[in-house]
Amino acid sequence: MYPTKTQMFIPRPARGATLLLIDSRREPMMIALSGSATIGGAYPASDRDIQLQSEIVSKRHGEFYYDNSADAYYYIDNNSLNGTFVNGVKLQPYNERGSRALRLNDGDVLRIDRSDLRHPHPQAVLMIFSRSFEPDEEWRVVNLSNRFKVTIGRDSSCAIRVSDPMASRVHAEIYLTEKGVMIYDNKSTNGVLVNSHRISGSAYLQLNDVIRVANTTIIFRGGYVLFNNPGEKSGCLSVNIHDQTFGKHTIIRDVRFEADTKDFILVLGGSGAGKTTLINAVLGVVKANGSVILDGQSLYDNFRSLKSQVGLVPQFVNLRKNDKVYATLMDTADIRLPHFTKQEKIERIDAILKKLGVSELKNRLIGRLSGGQQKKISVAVQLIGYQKVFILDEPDSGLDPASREQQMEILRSIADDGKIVMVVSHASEEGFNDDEQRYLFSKVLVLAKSVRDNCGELAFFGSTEDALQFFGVQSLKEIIIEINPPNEGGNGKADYYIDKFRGR
Amino acid sequence: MQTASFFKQTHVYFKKVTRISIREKAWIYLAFAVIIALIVNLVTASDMFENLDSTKSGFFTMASACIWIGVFNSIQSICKEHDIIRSEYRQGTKLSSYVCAHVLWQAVLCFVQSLIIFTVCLCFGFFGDSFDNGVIFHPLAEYFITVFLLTFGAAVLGLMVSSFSGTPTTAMKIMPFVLIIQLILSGVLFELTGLAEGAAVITFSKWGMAAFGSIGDLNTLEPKIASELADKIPNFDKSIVAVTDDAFQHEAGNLLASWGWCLGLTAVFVLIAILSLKLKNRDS
Repeated sequence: MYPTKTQMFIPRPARGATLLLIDSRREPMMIALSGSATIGGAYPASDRDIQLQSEIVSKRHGEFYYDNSADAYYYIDNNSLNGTFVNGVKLQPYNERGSRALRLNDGDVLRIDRSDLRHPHPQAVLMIFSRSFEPDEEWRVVNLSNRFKVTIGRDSSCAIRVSDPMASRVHAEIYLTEKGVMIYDNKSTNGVLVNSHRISGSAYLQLNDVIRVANTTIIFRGGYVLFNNPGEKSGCLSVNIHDQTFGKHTIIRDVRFEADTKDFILVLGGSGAGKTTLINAVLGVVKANGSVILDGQSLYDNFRSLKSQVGLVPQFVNLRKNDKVYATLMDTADIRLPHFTKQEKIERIDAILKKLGVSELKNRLIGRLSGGQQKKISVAVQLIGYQKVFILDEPDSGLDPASREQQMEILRSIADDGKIVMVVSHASEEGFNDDEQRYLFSKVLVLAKSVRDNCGELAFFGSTEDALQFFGVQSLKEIIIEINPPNEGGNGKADYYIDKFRGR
Repeated sequence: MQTASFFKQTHVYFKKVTRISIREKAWIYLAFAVIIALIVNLVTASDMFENLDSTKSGFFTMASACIWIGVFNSIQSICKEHDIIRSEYRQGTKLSSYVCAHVLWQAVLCFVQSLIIFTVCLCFGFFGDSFDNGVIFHPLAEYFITVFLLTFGAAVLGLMVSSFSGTPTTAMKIMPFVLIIQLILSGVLFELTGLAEGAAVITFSKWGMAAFGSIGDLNTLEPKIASELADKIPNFDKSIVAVTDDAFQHEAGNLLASWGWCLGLTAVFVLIAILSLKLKNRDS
């Protein structure tokens, strides 16, 4: 039965975000956002949370608004004199308060500047909104004045060293020319983005241009560049799906969530709730109406370069049964890690096999392994290539309970290594750690099929503890009973929880 | 993610395809070559170069056998791996490398099969006993090249069919049509006119027959009916029933053109196989 009493609303603590702030009159700084915050000029008696020194900033310039129910940050320009640009587009006045609230994604670039961004104001302000930057992220400086050329890439000789395997050895070069400073894409595999647009060959840089090379952000400051190097760790996965239709039928709608590095997410849902559709949308295999942002870059817009960062371990093993484990992994390493020496590849393969507890299988034929062992080899193949996001579709199907538990522990440890792991599974209880009396999953995503229009919608996304509280259940497996229709043995409360989650 | 170059990936996949094929009992394909070559020779070798009809039939049977062997080699090799390819393509595999590795493996397999067919034919005297008038090289070398080009070309044709077939079952359903088209459009069973004549240009059977005919100098052989009529009609002028075909001209240009068409078609089928896989995996 539906509750008849109004429930007390207890807001969850705001999830953090970080702002890299480059104000013209002071050193670049990182600002941790832990909820809504206002910005404005540093005038006497200013009540703004973030006070900027630049003279082109209005007293009440704008505000970051945190929406607790959507766990999302929005930005509103308070009809300021010079306005705010988000990713190169100026926010327009909407009402007396200001512009429409614009939902911010990881890596969005906000600028307070002249109308023509090609001729930036000397006191322009740059803010990069991020859910991947650490508050104590190290930013380094490379001076351009005493150099003719600055190299960017994975090679140790590069002035701007990028550890992300997505970067090429010498990925790009910055040149000082008579006409200005130019960035040149050195025929890199994954390209160079300047202000979110992939450049073709080369491009001249303007003050405060934001360059992305793999997961490294580089900011052009005229006489110098500022850059970070997040290494191999995954950043933030931000999924914002308005809908996904097939023909005239909408399969899923309004699925928004954000995952951080080390998140181990359980995806729950009854049959027909759209789990496979969601997986395909996150993989970019079937692009949904919406966006998938990985490390501040749109997967859909940069599919060719980013697709390999999101790996799928399918429900059914996709391996050549007549090949040996070691040969399969070495071939994968040969293709995906061309810059590694033979010895480095051997060490990586051995480390992965050891982590998955299958070192003794390396000389066995894949076809002669058990179902569980084959699934572990599938995971090993995906691990070879330094993916940032792993999606596993029912990895526990066909496994005995002991193997399932072990597999969940392995997946947890993969997430702990700095990855984002999403697992679609009906065996949620195998993810319960008896010793610690808690689930191994850090978050739970529940898709429920609405009875109103047969469309899968988000019924919950949050921590496992919040999930149990939200559904009023003792274990995760009971969530499925709550949302499943009565003819599938459930309580038929899908729409109730969809509405409840939306209205939180 | 930077992945290995085209050549490196081709090398990796060639090793993989070779390793797995050997493990999947590739010797069966060699055994097929032995059996089919024996059957063809047992049926046709004794009548070779007796007259135009029996020689033409012998060459046609040999060309058909080569095409059958080639297509059978490869028809299932790509379609059985579509799910694997999709996953590997997403992770950085170059589909051109993958297809080229299969092509290279088929080249090796077909070379060995051609050696087997050639050896059996030599033992049975399929190529006759007069080897002093080669078109370009020694006739035996020319026969071997033709057998290899036909078998290899058909194997690549099989790869192409396999690349756009969703499953091995579908591929095996398509295979008979591919073979029938090759037989019908060879120009041996039926005289081709109009559209069929144009379509025959894209068949290995036509160019294989042309090459065999050119090497064997079929235009110098008498039709079977000529000797039958000569037995019945005194002083019969055999030139009245003599048949010549421009396709069988014993000239270097003609033979090279036939080989060239075989190679050209093979190259086109490789490209189609790559494109087909790219289209199939465009969302991956």
